[in-house]
Amino acid sequence: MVTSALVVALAVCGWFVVAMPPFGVESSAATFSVAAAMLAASAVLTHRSSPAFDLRVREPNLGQPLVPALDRAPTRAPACVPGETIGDTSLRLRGTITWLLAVLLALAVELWELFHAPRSSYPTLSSLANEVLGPGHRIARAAAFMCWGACGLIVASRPGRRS
Amino acid sequence: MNIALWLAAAVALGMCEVASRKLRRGWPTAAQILRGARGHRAGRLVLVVGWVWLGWHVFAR
Repeated sequence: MVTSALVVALAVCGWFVVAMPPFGVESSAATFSVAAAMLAASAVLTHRSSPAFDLRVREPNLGQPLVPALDRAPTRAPACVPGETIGDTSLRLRGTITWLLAVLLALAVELWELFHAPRSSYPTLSSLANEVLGPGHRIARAAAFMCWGACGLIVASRPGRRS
Repeated sequence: MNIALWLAAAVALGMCEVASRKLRRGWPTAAQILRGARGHRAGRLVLVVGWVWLGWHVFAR
């Protein structure tokens, strides 16, 4: 519910922010303000979903300390995924390295294009994106702004425990 | 336009994701790598800085 309200607010903000002239103080201030608001919202939502914030009474507390016992050994994550074989671990390592190489290739292309001219022959990622997200495309730009803001809720939060 | 280099980079990234879907066990998906990065404080910091820079670059510049 709260997340949905935030996304709607992002859409409204985005509609006005993307109409601001680029390279201006207003657009920078608006973008950074929205980023700060999203990071704050992410922190609040993470805190609300933490077990310490859960105020529901699940069972009667009969003489048990309210604070969890600290003398127990902290639970540690297993060194590997349960049921994973050595072959799987090797494949995971090779996959991670391949992902890294693919990202480095994209980065190298960006730098190659960036330091060559003219831009029409050597397009950077932002000049390609400008074709669909430029100042003349308000609806697409506002939708992209909404997606960007929603990503801020995710990237700043610690991933939940899932099997 | 010198678009072939961008196509090669996109194909490389796409093939990595396809490999993760086909091989299933072991080979990580992009989501798993991002999830792993979010599990560490430094990883989250890098992701947040990149996210803020992206927003500023696309919407303010």
